Amino acid sequence: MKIKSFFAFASFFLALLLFVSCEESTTTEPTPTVTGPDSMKATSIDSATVRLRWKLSPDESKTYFKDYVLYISPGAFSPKIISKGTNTIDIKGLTDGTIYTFELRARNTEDKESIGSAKIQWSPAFRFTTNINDEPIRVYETASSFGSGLQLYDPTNGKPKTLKVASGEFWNLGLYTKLGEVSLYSANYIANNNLYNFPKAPTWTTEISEDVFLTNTLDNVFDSQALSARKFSTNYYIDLTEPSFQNGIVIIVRTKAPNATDWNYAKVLIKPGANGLLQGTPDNRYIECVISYQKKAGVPYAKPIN
Amino acid sequence: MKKLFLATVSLLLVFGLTFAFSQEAAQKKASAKTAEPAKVEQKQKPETKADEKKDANKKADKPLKGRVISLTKYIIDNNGTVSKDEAMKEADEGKPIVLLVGEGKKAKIYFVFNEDGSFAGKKLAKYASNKYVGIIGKQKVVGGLNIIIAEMIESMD
Repeated sequence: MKIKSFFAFASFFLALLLFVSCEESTTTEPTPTVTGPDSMKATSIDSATVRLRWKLSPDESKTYFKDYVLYISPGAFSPKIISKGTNTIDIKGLTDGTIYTFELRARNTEDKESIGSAKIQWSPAFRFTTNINDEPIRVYETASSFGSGLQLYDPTNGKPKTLKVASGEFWNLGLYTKLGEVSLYSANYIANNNLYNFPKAPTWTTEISEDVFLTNTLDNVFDSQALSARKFSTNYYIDLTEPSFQNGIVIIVRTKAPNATDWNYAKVLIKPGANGLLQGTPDNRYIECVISYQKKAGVPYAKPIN
Repeated sequence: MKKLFLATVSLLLVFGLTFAFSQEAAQKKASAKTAEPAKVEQKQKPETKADEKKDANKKADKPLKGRVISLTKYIIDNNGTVSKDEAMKEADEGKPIVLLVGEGKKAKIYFVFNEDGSFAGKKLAKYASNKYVGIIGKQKVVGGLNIIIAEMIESMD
């Protein structure tokens, strides 16, 4: 009796075991959706290229994380597949003045896209390393016979231009080096305070942003917000003797044509010299600039989307 | 204790590396100035002859101001005005691009050379569309020709 009961129990147990093991081998759990990337930032490299940077998905270490996919609109851009671990990419073939939407999603091993994504709207801008004479963009000290004023973009010649006081009406920015001061002012501030005696007052309005970026390249100045969201004023100025500026700075400037309602935005790199931002020898010391300029008014580079 | 120390050091290293490789520019605020009374330059007469000499030396750095012309055209039309593109084309063809200083009977033509001794016609051609150009350098007269060895060439518009 005892033996029979034992066999009956053992058979039942074996059958149960088989049933359970069969169940396990046929069931497949759905692959979880991965968390999307975040905090998209951008900067313009040139008139056709934008550099994007983002915060990687926190799920990258998961076995079911595959890669990222980037959508670009408007235009006939096919989705770009970006391998995991990558947080920066240059997008080429864009058009200056067009505001593009970039949306980045993460994918799992089943190509299912994340619900969350990193998004930004951005427009490429022209990058000028030389002036209308195809030479470095230099702005000279007050004592120099060469120009102390900078026109960010001369529409006639299609490039930035250094100007003397006689052409003050076209100045956007001016270098002032008198009374122990070495500063960069907006042309409007210069005119209002007679730092230089312009024959005609500047026709454009120029404002400087309160933000100064400590860097020696424009490529490092990423934005996650429209430049118009920053604080600008004709009264902001840059003290170029500030010790923390000696390795190069980028400032943000905007200019407005007479009677216009929209601004043209620009980023200006002041390159470092051997002993700070002011280079050369008296009386022809100068600052050397690289300019990123948005020719289309009313396009303040970036617009975040959330 | 050792573990705690190692963990702290590792954490600091990770933070340090993250900062070093983040490659994004740090931000600072620009200074702001409210409208101020006009600044008036205080002019002073040199007090001693030594000061006068210093001032005279400063004037030696003044650029030679003129306009960029085509010598070939100048011979024909007594004006020599060329656009930047024309000047660059002529320079490529080996035609002389020169600096005209002064106007009319007082006009002088300067042949511009680089410091390495090469003719600076191609460099000068880039300034042909400027109203005026300034050149800092040593001036010479060689065989009746006005020469300037250019240390700096800049627009003077």
